[in-house]
Amino acid sequence: MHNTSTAKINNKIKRSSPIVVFLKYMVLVCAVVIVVVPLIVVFLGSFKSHREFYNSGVFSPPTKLEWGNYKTAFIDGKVLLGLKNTIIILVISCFGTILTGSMTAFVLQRFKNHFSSTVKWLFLIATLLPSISMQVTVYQIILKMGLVDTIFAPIVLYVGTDIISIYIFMQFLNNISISLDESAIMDGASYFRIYFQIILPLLKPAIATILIIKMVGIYNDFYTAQLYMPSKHLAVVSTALYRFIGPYGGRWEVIFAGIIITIIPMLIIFLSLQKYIYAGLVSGSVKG
Amino acid sequence: MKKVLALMLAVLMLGSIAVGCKKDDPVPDTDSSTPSSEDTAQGGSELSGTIKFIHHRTDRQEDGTMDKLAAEFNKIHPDVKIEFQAITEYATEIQTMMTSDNYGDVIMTPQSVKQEELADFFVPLGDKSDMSEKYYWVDGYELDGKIYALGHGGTASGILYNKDVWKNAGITDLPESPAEFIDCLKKIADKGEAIPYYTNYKDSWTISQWQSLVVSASGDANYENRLLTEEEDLFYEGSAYDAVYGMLYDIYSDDSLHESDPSTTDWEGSKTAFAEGNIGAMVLGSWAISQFQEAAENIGVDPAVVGYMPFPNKVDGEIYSVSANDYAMSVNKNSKNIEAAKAFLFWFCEESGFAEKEGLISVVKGNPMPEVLSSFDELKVKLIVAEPAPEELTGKFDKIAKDSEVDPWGDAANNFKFKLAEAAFGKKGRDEYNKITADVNKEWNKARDSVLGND
Amino acid sequence: MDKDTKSARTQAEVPRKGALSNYKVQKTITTITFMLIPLLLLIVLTYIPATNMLIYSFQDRTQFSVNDSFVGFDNYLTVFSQPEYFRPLLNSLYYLAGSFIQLSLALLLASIICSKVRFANIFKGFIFFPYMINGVAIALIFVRFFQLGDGFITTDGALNSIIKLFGGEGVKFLSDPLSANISLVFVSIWRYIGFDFVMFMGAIQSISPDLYEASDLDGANSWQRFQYIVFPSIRPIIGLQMILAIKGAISVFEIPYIMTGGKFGTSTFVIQTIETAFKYNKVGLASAMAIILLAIIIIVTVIQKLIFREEA
Repeated sequence: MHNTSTAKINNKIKRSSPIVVFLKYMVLVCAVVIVVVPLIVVFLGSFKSHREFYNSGVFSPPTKLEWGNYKTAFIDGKVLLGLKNTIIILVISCFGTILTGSMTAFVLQRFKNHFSSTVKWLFLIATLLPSISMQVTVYQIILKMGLVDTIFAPIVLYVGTDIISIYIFMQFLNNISISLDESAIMDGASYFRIYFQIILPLLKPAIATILIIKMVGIYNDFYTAQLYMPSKHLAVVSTALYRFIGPYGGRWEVIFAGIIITIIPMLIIFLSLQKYIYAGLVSGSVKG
Repeated sequence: MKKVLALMLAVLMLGSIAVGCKKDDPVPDTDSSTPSSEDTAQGGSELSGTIKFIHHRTDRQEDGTMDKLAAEFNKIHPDVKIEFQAITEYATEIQTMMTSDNYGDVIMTPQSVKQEELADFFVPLGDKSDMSEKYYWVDGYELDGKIYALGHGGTASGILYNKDVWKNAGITDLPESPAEFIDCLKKIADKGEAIPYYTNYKDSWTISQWQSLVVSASGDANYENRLLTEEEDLFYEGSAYDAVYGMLYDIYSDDSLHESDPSTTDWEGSKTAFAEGNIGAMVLGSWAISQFQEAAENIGVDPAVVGYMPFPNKVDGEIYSVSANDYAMSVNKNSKNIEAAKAFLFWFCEESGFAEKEGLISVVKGNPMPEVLSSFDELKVKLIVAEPAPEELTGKFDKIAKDSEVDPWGDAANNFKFKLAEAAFGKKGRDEYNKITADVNKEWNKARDSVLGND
Repeated sequence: MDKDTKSARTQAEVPRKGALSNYKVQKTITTITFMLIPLLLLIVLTYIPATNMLIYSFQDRTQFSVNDSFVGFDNYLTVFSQPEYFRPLLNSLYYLAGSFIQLSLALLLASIICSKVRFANIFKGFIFFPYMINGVAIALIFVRFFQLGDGFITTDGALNSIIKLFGGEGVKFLSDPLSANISLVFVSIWRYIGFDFVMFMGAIQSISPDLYEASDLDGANSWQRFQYIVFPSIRPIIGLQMILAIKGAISVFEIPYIMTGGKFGTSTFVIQTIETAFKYNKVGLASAMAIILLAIIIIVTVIQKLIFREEA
């Protein structure tokens, strides 16, 4: 199967026996199959009519494309509404996180004093708290703030409890030479100007990293929205899909269409930003 | 689905509140000028103002039923403007709203409000002595002689079955004992055209439907009180609990009698499947009948296939079914139009015809049974309402249930119902059943002795 | 860390004379304006709830909190004395075992991809992509994937179809404690392996190519190269991922919550905590459970710090 490629690779990598090369590809192909099979089943099923879904094998392609499933998922399943709400939350939270995160990092990393080292510790300790369990008491705070069942509950939480971003910004700031600040100070620039005109533009790669982490995190988060936004009109992608289980419980073809709809935006983003996503996750995790 | 949950919770609520506790410290009656129900109901047309009715029936809001009802009401009280707010996740959201004063004027009484807290949230609707004569299910909403909520309808307990499936399996007479019931299921299994019993196990609430069969199985409206006064075990050979949960255990233990993969069931789908003749029976309150009939109509099946039978346990030659109320309704004590709100509440419960249309039992004693329960008349089923606990036992059943964590109505993950079900699914046999039920007895008796103070 | 101190020193050494006091004031103003909101959020959304949690854990308390009373260590005793409450913690062992499999597989795949295979990017994309998929979508995909049909209402999902294709007998993957937990762990691996994989790849690719060349000249085979070059350089990453794995394993929530709702012995400690708080309205007890989880996490973290310090 891999005869020709084996030969080429053998030239590149010395002393890899054909068996090893074969095994390598076997492992990779197996991994891909395991990833793809569940998804293929969903894709095929999403185009079948209800009758066909239950009368055909899971791997058999649909005889006729049933777009109605997608229509049902979009309209009755409120996936579109979910996408809209998710995007609103995503945009505001990202904006908020980038602003507060970089400002905090700027103060903590540039101003070395007791205050900043204490605050650093406060943030560090906060990363230890198990986020879902914390909702037991965070819920009552959000309730008292009057934010339960408003779109602001998740936004406040995503902005206010994102400590990883602060760490990423601090790490990037570490690599921005302090002499830049100093020469600006010599020119009489204020810290505000230094931050907005010098530091923030230089933090672009950090911002990209955080945007990617946030995007994946918020798009995939389920429980924050489930707990804080029970109203139908406040559904996000996750909760819209979760609420499918009730009314469409037995109609897998519609659920599958809903699943495909939610996967597509992520697939597009992934295909177009692949490199940045890998780099972003790596730097985010290692540095955070 | 949410509607169903709410209904189920209402059933749960009855379990915990109907026997709820009455606190000793007196709550000042701030609203002493409360007119009796009759006054309000026929209070004439001088009532005015805007009232907001917050409820859980999103389905009836969306299909226009509620607006029609408002128009009907306005024929009597033209100056009262009614606004509606229908909430999908009612139980959770109303709880949130009630942390402020702003929770509408008329609401579906949330089950999370304890009996002793009723006066903190609602206005009294009338005196207990008057109201309990006229209405069903008011005892659970009593505080210091006043009633704070009125059910808008009630349900009976029993088993839903597909008449065609049963007939095709050659069953002519309805079973009269749990053993006969299981024989019937086996006949359906042998016929092989339908799943005899559908557990719907994935949804936690479905198993709580079994608990509503217990009092029916005992044939004694006073059963829960008797458990306390006579210090009876919950489980012993032939007890009401044993009859009900023994039957559950036998059905769940036999793979041929229920769906093959109970972890991936689905409630909405089961309605259609039932109508299509793929399901033989399900234990559900009578509230489910109209939904299953609707599902049948939707796929062009005669809704008459939906049969309803009581729990098959004859007590002295009679078969009983216990009735309980769905969500009750209350008036917010912070309402600016209390009189108009009360007028609407009584009208909705008594005269609107909503209960009849939904197949619910009317809250007014003596009104005819809804059509969906007509089979009960034919079977000569005796409908009973659980007796309220005597003064000295009020709230004790509830407290024992919670303290012992036996909690017959509960659906906590550690509830004995789930233990029984999963032991049955795992085919652990009767020994395991005896072990689990012995544990239940032990915990129950321990808590009972400490709560009732007779060690 | 050491860069920090260096830059701090430089900053201090630069004399600013007259401007200095001006900048001191500015520093204070900047600190206040920049930090006010983040600090407020930190206190309101993290420290107040955490303090409340500690207080509530000693109370008998509901969501309404009408009359809560101090109960000492009762809540903690309940958690430890009743198997129903702490048994879900044992389910973490399944996930812990799963994460070690996940890490090893991710490492294997990453080293293969980094060893100059063809179509590396395509393989990489496939292996990573599940990490980008919404958790609810994944849960639903696999509920169906594992389904065993009854021939009336439901049909077999993909896995049982394959099993039956090869003449096997259908398996109720999600309705038996052992197989249900294993299935859920599988889903968790499927979902998260891409992340570990990308981490390892990042680490492996940051190894200097000189080292590889040197090893090639020395005539090292793939395994030797892994053993002597790759593994030592990515050890810190492995350590980090292991700690993340342990923390992840004791706070599993989403997948079992959606797929089985904790039925058939698949409940986890976090599911139990959340249900106790929001379903059974026992905020005091739930707080105690959250505090216990926090304590475990702190212990694990301290151990991690100790080990890392030894290594350094």
